[in-house]
Amino acid sequence: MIQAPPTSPPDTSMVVLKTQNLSRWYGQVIGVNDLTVDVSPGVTGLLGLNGAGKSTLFKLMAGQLKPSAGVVRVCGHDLAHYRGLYRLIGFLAEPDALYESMTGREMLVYLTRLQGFTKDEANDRTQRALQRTHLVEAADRRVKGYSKGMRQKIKLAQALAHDPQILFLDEPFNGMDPVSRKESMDLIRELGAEGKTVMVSSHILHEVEAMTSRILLIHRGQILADGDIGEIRDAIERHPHRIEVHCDSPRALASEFISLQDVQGLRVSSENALLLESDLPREVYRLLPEFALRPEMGVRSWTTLDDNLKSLFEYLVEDGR
Amino acid sequence: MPIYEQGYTRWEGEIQARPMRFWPILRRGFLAELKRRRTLILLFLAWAAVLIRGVVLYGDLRAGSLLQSSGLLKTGLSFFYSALKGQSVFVILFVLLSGTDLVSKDRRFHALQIYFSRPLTPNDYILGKLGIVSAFVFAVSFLPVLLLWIFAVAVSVQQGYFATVWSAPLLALFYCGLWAALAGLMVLMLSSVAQRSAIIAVSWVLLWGLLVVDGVTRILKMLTGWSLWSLVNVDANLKQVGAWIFGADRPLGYHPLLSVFVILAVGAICYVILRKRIRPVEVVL
Amino acid sequence: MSSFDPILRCARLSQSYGEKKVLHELEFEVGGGAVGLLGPNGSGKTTLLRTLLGLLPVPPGCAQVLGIDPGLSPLALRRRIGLVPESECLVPGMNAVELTGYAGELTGMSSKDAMQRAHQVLYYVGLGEARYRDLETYSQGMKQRLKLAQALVHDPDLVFLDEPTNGMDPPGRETMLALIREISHAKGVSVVLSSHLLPDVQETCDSVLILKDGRLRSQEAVSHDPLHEHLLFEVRGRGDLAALGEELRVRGHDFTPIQNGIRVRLKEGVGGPEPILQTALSLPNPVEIRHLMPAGRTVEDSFFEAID
Repeated sequence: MIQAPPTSPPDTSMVVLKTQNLSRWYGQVIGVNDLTVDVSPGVTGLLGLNGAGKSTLFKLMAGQLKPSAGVVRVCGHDLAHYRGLYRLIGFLAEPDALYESMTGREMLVYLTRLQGFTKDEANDRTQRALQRTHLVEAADRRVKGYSKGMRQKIKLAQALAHDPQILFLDEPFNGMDPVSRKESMDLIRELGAEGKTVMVSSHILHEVEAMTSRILLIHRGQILADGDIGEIRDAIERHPHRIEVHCDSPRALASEFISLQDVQGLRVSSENALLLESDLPREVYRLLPEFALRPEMGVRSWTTLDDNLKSLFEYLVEDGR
Repeated sequence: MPIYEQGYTRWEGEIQARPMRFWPILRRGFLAELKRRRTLILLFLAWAAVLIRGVVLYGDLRAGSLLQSSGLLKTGLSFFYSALKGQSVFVILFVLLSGTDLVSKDRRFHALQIYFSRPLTPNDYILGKLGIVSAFVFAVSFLPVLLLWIFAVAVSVQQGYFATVWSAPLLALFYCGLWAALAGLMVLMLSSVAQRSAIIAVSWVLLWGLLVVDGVTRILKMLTGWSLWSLVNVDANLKQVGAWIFGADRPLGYHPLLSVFVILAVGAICYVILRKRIRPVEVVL
Repeated sequence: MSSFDPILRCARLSQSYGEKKVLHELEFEVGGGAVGLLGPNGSGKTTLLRTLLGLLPVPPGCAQVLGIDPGLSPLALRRRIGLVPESECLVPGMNAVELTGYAGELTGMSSKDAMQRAHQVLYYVGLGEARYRDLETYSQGMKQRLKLAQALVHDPDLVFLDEPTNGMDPPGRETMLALIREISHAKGVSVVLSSHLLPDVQETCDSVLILKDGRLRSQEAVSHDPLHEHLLFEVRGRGDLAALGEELRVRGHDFTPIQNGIRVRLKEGVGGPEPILQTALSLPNPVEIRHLMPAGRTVEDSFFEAID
């Protein structure tokens, strides 16, 4: 397991939710296997292949499933023993269990009142949740007529309405059009900035990257990586950084780089591109702008081919096999 | 990497517009049902029933005891009509066994999207499915009785026998066609409206006019003396039409043309409802 | 039909559901390759797709797909196109190879041809080993690929795909997009991809149609090779890139923050990345530039501009 080194001493009072040796099995099938993880405020992306255990982990952390072993602690207390803690948690899950014949607003008010709020409070909170999720216009139409994207938004509103401290969102953008996706991603970033603890599970990696740099990667029921994307990338030793430089004379550039200790490989991938491999690319990145300013090199642009979440995911899962 | 064992290749063949577009639906559905053990058992039993009739007929014909001319005529044709009616149990069983799931499962699994993104119209789909049910209906009614007729004609010693019964196959074809179409449309309609086989089966039995409806209409007829109550009993009306064309006794108190009207009306209503439930534009995307 | 004929053509295409007009006088022409169909919810995308599939009545001459009028000859049309729908679809009681063969037969192939093709196509989409397995054991990714197989079995000239990566995990999405790219670019099958995932469209499509409220807001090519761009650059890396942006602004250029970096618009008359690099080297706190690339106009840019 790759654990990114903390950049500052851990402040455990900041950790709102943690799991300790959490396991859940279904007969012989193990959903999550001995997970110990701390979730701090802000946005965390939960990633993993289908069937890796993401939904199970969410349900356990949200208190919808009882652990077979281990414990989930919210603010230090065992979630299984303190029902009141559910007030702090909001959950957006996959299955559609909406009240089709009610309007969006009616449904939200109803569900919020179930949480124990008075009618006025429920109306207020509903209105705020509708505003935040940009559903005010459609709020007074029946849920039955909602498009897939709107159904997701109303589920999001429902998870928010009681103003929870912790939010678990399982594929929240499923079916949303690009406008709603952008609005929802902005909302999630805001919630993270407000100090809420938000965990978002998504297969659309570039959207996860747009919301946070912190990820939790689950593979076969266990944690494969936990921390900041950049730091995780740097900690993966098996895959050197691959940097592609577009320039007019790749061979001339290659002869400059070959003497560098940190460069392990050079490849003239085309007549105007040079591919560099480096375990510790700091020097490479320092030198590139200098070389680029030398007109005889003709360096026009460069990019790191695997400095993104998609490559990171591939490497981690591949190595985890 | 998209390169698996073989890359994508274009196909050299030509796709022709086929005259019977519904044929693959019929064929696949029929064969799938045929493979089940219960189907073979029932088919065997259905044919066994007709076989027994054949044995009895053999005895009668050889003994020559049916020599009365006018009596012979009536017994001749109506014998085959009775044979067909006698297969009712099997027809009903097959209509329910092969038909209740035909549309409901397609709707549940959204298979209709696959059908209607092909060059198929809703009528093709209906014809194909109806064909499956009809094939079984024919297999246990028309086919065995046809063979019975061939047997009877071959075996009879009376001179006039063929002359009295020559029309039996044509009449049987017509009657079984009507039977299959009506029963089939009704079960398909119900299959497009409900999901659970048990509900569809029970509804079909009720709508067809068996058991409950039959009992109720009889009571009503007794109480009010009004024979038109039977108009709601599809089964009775179908039998009335059968009796009419085969020249047998007609138990219902009204003219057979009314029965024809009922049958056509019920069939049309089932078709219209069925069409409404499988509209491609609603189902695809 | 020559390879220069448009695969899609609409001429003043309108559609209404009762009183409500859903498509307003759409007019466009699309050549071969891969075209993305984009639009917010309620833009009329689904209605347009249904019209092009020949499922909705349309006055003659208003629409043409592969040279065929969907209102006049919907059956002839559907012999030459394939559809990968968004929602789950299975034929009950069949395994993958039976289903794919059946789909081919329903299109008009002989059962022998359909079966042969079914095996080939299932291997192509990566379901070769699993083709006899019970469909209930299929993962989401496998079901999506099966949908692609049934759309390809009859060798269509045009395939419509509606959210083809729905529910697939990252490796699955990669595979699916790669398959789509391959069939549209290497194998000459045209593709219409309807999706809300703009980066997917960026990766696979040559052009996009953007709809809003039943009207065509934009038709644009997707730029894949912006290396000739001189003024617009994307800068990503480690360190305080916003500070780099601010300093660039001081020097007369402009920037906007983007995910993990900044997008720089250099002032006119200055080309190439030099100004950016000089500025970067002049900063007191060094930045590590890991990505410095000319930024073409993305599908996302086109989309948000078109619908505003």
